[in-house]
Amino acid sequence: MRGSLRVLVIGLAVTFVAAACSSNSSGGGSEAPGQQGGTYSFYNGEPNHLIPQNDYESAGTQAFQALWTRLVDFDPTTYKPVPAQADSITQSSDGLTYDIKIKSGWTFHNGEPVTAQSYVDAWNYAAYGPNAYILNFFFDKIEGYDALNPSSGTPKTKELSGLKVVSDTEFTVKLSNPFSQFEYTLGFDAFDPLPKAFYQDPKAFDEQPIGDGPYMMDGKWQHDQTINLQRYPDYAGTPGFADKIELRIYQGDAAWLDFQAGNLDITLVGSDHLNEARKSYSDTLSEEPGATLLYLNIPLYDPQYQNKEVRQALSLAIDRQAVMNAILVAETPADDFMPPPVTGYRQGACQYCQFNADLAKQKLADAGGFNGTLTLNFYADDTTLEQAMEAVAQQWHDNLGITTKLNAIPQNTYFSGSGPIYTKKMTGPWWDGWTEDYPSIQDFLEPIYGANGGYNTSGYLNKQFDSTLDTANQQSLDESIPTYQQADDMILEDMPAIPWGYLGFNTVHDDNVTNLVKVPGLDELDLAKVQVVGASGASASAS
Amino acid sequence: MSKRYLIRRLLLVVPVLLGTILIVFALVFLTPGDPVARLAGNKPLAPSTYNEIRTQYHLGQPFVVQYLYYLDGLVHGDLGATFTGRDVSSIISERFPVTLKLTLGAFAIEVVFGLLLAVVAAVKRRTFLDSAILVFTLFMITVPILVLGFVLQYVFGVKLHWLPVAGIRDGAASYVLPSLTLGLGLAASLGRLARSNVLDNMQGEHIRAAIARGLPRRRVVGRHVLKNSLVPIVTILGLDFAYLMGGAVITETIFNLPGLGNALITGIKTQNGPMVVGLVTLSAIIFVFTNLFVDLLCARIDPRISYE
Repeated sequence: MRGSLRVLVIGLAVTFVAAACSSNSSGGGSEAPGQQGGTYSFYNGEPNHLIPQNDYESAGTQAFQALWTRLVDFDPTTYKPVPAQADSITQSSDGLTYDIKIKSGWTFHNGEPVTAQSYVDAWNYAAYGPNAYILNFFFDKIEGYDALNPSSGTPKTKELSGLKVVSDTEFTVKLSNPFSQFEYTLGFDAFDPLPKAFYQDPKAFDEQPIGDGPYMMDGKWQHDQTINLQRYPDYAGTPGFADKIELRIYQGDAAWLDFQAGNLDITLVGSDHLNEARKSYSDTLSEEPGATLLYLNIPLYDPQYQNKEVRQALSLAIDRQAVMNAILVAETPADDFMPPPVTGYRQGACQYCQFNADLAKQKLADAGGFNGTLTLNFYADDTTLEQAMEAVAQQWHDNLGITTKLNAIPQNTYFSGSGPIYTKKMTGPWWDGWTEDYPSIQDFLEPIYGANGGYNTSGYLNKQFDSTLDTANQQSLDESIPTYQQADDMILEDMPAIPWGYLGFNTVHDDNVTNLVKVPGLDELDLAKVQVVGASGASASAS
Repeated sequence: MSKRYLIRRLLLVVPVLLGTILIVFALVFLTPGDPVARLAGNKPLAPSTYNEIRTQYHLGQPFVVQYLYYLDGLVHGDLGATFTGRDVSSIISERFPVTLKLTLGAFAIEVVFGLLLAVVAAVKRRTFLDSAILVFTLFMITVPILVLGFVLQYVFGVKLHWLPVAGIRDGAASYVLPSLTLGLGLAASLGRLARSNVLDNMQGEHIRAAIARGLPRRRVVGRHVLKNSLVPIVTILGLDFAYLMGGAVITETIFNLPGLGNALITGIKTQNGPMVVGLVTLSAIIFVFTNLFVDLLCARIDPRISYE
């Protein structure tokens, strides 16, 4: 999803990443007791909005991580949803209705209680077509969505028929069709609650949002400078450690320099500075695989690529690790169609992702060879990416004897709705990426390879794959994962795309802070867990 | 200098602005790409959301109609909104002070250093000092702003910790390195130009007469030479000022200053048409008025200049 956006910035010290989820509300009490107090600063980009339903990029979701408590968080080992602001989520036997009970006694930062109505109103508002909220499409699985988004004219109703408030702390959600992964989606910010103050003046709310998370706004959003947060004293969940957090807004390289100069406590590290970070900041550098799959998409509408053995050969002929060691340092080679912090990922599942020049040659020979020139497409103005693509083309040339050509396309055209990706006019494989919205295997299968997938740009069509997805969508959450894995097996054989790598979520920090924890399943730092060293007598020991 | 002249010049602003806006509008809105579709990365927006946003911004209308809508807004003091819903006027009013401070800093460096270098080099012409200044100014002119900026950041920020390297959190100190980055190159150019001007003037009969009269050298240079060299210098300074106020894209980006140049580059990258058009229009207005001011000033400095 935000895939492309994020892929754009590989090579900067910036990673645009995705998705949702929050922090310290779940469980409670499992934290080692740390000391509260102090202020720290963290790198961030400039969000488009600070209204959770109207923002779809990583700078916003990182801020929401502290400002809101999501309905569910994700388990640190299985990445399955666990209740956060929700108390319980129960699926009906027909799979269509979810009964959501929320924890009582929680309040927004202005003191207003968080009730079932806070959720239902927010969802209705975002799902209402004329409001033109970016995350509107997240509600399309709920019954009544079409009535709020007619193909023409003004909607006759402002409320989703599938939402019913049962009591202050309970509401039900009826879906149009069963969807086993619905609970995962609730970890996304589209489903956050909004207080009444929002509806009085959404624009003013955008400048100083009022959430229900461990941190509240400390003054207004200072555009392109900082988003200042302070601990919300009446938070009903596990409180955050630091008194104040400065989300500093940077563009480009300035963040890295500011970190080096000692003015920024925590920053993210991309390919261009990772080698330096490994040398100079190895003691605080944390490298973890993130929630993004980078891959080479394949134009299956081009007869050259319709034989699966050609695609298998192309994948087998790339030595991913070599390219990453030399150029794309912040990435790790892909070994499945989804990254590790996702429910359903299987290590080493992709047999054709292992570099094997001999097998590649044999596969290509079996397929009858490759005629003509292979054009490898990528977006322009990213020298790191260009070098990597040159290396890939060279490997195809050396290992398979294919004549290759590189084609850099301007970024505005590349990702445009009228560009070659969406109009299916790509002249050969192209660089692509997919960042999850929620850490489920389904999010890496159905949207990209399903017949009705929102990003099925390769034109992949496999009825058996689709029916397997259908089955999985109708199962219970736990049953569904192995079924999705069966679908994954089909594309692991078919190779409708060439998995390339996983973009790392890499952080470094200075001596001022400790206890940096990545939010399970999402590319976010858990802002509430960071401790400031020496603050009001805090012990420096990490929990 | 008559009132009629002034009115004529002011009236000229209108076609200049209309033309500028038309050209920028065409460049921004006729280039391929779909900024609305990209609001959610490579995930397609809901059709209702997509259509609603396009309708709000008149994007489905022919180009000319969009242009007229924009002009209509402009007449009513509305610079439009970005595709993420922020008013362009509020972006400009937030960022204008940053660019103004940076401009004043760089401009001060240009004037002070530029004139100092020029006068010293001219007075001490063909000495070692003159040659040293020549080498220094040529060097400053050749060094790209990007390189100078990074070197200053690294030396004074990262290594010595004397000055901040990014952002505007530290008040005036935040503007020192960016102002130097911008101002030194301008000072060097001005120094070269002004030196030859000052030298030309020092050959004048009236100067020799003044020296012969026994006037102190400082007074000769200050009063007679420099004043007569001012017209070309003021003209160049005016152009430089207007250029600086347009927003120094590279400097603002490497120092993470939230100014107009920084906004322009973001606007271009994200194809945020309303933002780009608004910023370029503002820069055109500043250019036109600075030029007018310079012309008036020159007429005052040198009464021989007439604009009839």
